[in-house]
Amino acid sequence: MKKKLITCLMLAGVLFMAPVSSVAAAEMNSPIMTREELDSATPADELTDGATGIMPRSADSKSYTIPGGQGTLTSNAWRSTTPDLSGNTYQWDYQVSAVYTGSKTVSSIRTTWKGSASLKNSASISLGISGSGANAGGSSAWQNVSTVAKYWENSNGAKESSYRSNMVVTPRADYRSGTISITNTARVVLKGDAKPYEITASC
Amino acid sequence: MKKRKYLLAAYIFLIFLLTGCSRADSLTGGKTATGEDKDYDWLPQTAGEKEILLYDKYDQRIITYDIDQHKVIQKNDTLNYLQFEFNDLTSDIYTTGHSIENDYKIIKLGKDKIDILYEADQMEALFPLAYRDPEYMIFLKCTYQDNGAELYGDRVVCRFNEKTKTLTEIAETKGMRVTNGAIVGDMLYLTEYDAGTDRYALYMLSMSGNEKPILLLDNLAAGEIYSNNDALWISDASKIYCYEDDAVCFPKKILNYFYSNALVQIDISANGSLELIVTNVETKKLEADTEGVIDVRIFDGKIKAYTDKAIVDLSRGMTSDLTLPVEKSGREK
Repeated sequence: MKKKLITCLMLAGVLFMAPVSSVAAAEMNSPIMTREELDSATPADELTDGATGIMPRSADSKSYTIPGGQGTLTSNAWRSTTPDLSGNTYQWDYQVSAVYTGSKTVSSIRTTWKGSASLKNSASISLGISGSGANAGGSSAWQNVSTVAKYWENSNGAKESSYRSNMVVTPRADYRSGTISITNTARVVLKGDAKPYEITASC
Repeated sequence: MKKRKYLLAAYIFLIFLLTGCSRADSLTGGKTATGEDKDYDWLPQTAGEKEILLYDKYDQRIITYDIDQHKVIQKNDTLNYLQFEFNDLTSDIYTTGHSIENDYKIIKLGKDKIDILYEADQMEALFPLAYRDPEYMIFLKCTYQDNGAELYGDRVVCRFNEKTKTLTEIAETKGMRVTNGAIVGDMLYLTEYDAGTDRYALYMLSMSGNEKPILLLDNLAAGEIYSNNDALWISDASKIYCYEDDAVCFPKKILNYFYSNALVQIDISANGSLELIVTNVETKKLEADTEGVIDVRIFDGKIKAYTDKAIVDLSRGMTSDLTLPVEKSGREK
């Protein structure tokens, strides 16, 4: 009888430990930002092209609130939703930017971006800047191909760094519709502080 | 008796299982504040003879690089998880950490392995300031509150000895908003940021310690300072000046490193690429200009640039002989 009691108590003790240890762990680990704060995005500007009117754009904007009330870093990326057809290429107008809003002085603000698409055979994708192209490997199966990364930085106290160009894919037949994307990582360093902060947007 | 032993074994097994499961990671879904996996705290590993460890200087991340294909093979792209270097092309010591989660460490980069030399406390961050030799290098230590804001009064310069793995605060610097450091001879130079004036001040203190820092200059427009051939260099937003004679100056780029009589700089070209520029400090002549630069290191006294197309020996173009200063010998890989 005694043995059974001891056994029961031991098992009960073991079962009791599970919820206690998990609650203790959860209490000790509170995230710095809530999911809601992260998901609230600043809407991108609706830019107009004077000659041709408003072009439909795909856009993404992600913001990060720098701890200690030091302002906000935003990464923006937009591109035309449907490509222009030019010769045997598809071209998408795009813009990437890193923006700091806040009262601190910026030591440097940069934008790092690359494009990607699903391509086959020897199709190529570029960012519309020299030396940014990449080719599919030659196979007739679709592969995800990314361009090299390109960079733009301001360190003269400017609170924004941006770049605008065209993504170009050629030939049209070797591009898988709907797979083009542009990814932009913004990074800011504030004066007098050692930690860089990053946030990424892509569309 | 037998039954009891089994129960005891089961009980012990259950204990081990449950203490393992109580780790916070698996319960919060293992995500950081900006949504990355909590398993971000890893660094690349080489696979095979053709791969070496390098440091992507602009992106500030350690990478593995294929020496035949001249390609980056592995890199930890986790947002805000970065590695930081000394302003010294011969040093193999870095710090690594996450701008929000911290987990800062001092690490040593070998050709194919990384050693952890020191782990900071959870609310601290460490950044390299200046390197002299394995027994004396200085780091900036910053302390943060739970909400991520820095406690500026706790910022302090520390010295580190790679052999004893001890990090010691230089008490006279506590509370100073130090941003950069340089070692010239026996003296340590520091720049401090003044948020009120948006300017920097230059201080000097003896490395033997126990002395208050001496103010040399204030109202500097930039904090970056450099050490080369027993001389101190200061800078503003667009130029680097010899401290002793500011008529001697060079254009300042995004990243600037002195080595012997070469000024090695990395900048962004008009087409958004990373450009490497090497200037002879004595003749002021441009010695090399190449694109796609990832890292620059010193081997056998030669400056080697690792780009996305080639490994370039930059010393070939240098008209003067590039030899290591005597007191720094022994640090080459």
